[in-house]
Amino acid sequence: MLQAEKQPKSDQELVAKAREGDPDAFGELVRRHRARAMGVAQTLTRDSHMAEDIVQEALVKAFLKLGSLIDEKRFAPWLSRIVRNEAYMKLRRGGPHGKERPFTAWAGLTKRGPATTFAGHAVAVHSDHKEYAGIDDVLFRLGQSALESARQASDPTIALQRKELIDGIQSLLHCLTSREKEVFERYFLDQLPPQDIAALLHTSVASIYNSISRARMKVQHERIRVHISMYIEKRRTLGKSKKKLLAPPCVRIAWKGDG
Amino acid sequence: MAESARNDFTWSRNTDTESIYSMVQYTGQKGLTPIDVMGFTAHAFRIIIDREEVEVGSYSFFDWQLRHAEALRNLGFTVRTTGRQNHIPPTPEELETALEMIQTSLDAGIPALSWDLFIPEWGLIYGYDDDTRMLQCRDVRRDGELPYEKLGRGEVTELYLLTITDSKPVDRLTMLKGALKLALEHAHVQQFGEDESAGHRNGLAAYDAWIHAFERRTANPFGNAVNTGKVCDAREFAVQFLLQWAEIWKKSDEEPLRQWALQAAEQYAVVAGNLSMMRDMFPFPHGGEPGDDATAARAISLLQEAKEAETAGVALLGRMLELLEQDAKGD
Repeated sequence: MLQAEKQPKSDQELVAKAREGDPDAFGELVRRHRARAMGVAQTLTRDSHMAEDIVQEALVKAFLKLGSLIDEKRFAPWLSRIVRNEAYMKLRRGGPHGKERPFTAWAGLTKRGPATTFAGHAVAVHSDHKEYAGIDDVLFRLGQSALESARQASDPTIALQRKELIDGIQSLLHCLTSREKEVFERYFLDQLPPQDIAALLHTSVASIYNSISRARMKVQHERIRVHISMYIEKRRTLGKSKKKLLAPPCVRIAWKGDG
Repeated sequence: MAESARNDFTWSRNTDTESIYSMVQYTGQKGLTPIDVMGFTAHAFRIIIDREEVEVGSYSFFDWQLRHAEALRNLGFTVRTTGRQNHIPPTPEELETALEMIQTSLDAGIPALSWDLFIPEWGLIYGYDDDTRMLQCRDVRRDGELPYEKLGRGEVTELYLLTITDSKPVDRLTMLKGALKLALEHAHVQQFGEDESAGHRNGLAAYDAWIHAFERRTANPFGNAVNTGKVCDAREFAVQFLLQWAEIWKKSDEEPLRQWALQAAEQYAVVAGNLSMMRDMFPFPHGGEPGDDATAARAISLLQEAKEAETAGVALLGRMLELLEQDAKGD
């Protein structure tokens, strides 16, 4: 889209655009550098799931920290460094089978063999893996909408963008307890590793993992709730019916006595 | 061989068929009985088994969107589906699409088919309320309310939805021919390639898969009990469906069809009989001891006999279809 209309831009121009509030520019940077970032992560971890997690987290951090990139020409090496840091952090924790599992694994990422792909009851512990991608998505969208509104404002400074971005995230975080919120912000906004957050808040790493996991689920839930509200509001405006109840179907309720 | 003792054919353990039957009651096809729906969707002839351990979800290892649309098309319905069988909960946008589909369908007076409402089985959504944000649902476990936001976030966290969008009248003979085609394809053609099947086999090959799991003593007690119940239920319906057609074909030029339907019914009765013995050996839910040597040996011999009977039954279905197609050309 972007490239079809115009000459390909340099990374430097894209970084500048992204900072100024162009929502497509960061997307284009991601498209350009995702494969290489994956390559770096794969080489370091030799685990494609883990590598994907690492790149996901690195991209969110890169987006949030874009303002701190001093030399706009050096986006690619800068991103690679974030990826490497992420990877080392995870590997230090012992990899996917270590006692302290990587963050995304903590939430219940289990072996997803093909035998369970279609199975109804087969999976006892469910993967929270994609929920996590969902939260990254929230951060992303909030960032984009913050950038968008900053662009429309008369003073589109980076400071304003950052403020709006963080305000946006915080408005979604109102569903969290103050403690969960603190942990969540330290993790996502300050990008502190759970070990450091634990030290800071005088608690165990496990309890930090728990807080992040719980907070993440609450935020995900909140995002769905808000979306449904908007959908219902739209129906109301269109004058659609609010309620319908058909005669009960004849599906037999037989579970317990199914012998 | 033993007769299956069942005489209540008002409900099925195959919850997608049960739900489809219930949905159809809100349409112009409400004259269809559970036996008709089991037969005309070809679900009466369905069997899917995981060869490694007869995993509990074996019966659901098929492409729902594709196969359910195909089965309902044979009854004259056009459908719309959404969702994926991948253990990934819906995004807010996907949830909105599903809610829109449900509300459109309910406004038109037909419930929506879904999955994992109160249990990982198929069930129906038959009411909504934007004020309370609740869906009224019914599945094999319960009838009750489900919050909008919980759709696709049940035990297995995945969304599946099917709604009927249009229908055209189809006569019973056309439905029968369509069903026989679906049944024969299911019996002979694997729906998934080796790399995608995760050890699952359908049709006649499913018996070999089942026997394989017993030979290796790896059949999962719960999975084996659940799937024995599902396949046995289907074959009990197959017998009734075929007997029903044998009753219909009374004219002299229909005699071959009548004979083949009766013979096929006999074969499927052997299958149902043997599976009902297995159902007693492996009662739901604890499932007995499929790993016990003597028990496994007996199960293997029952399954071998069942496969032999089903092979003969499938061949008879093929002859029926051939003759029906010839008649159609002759008309």
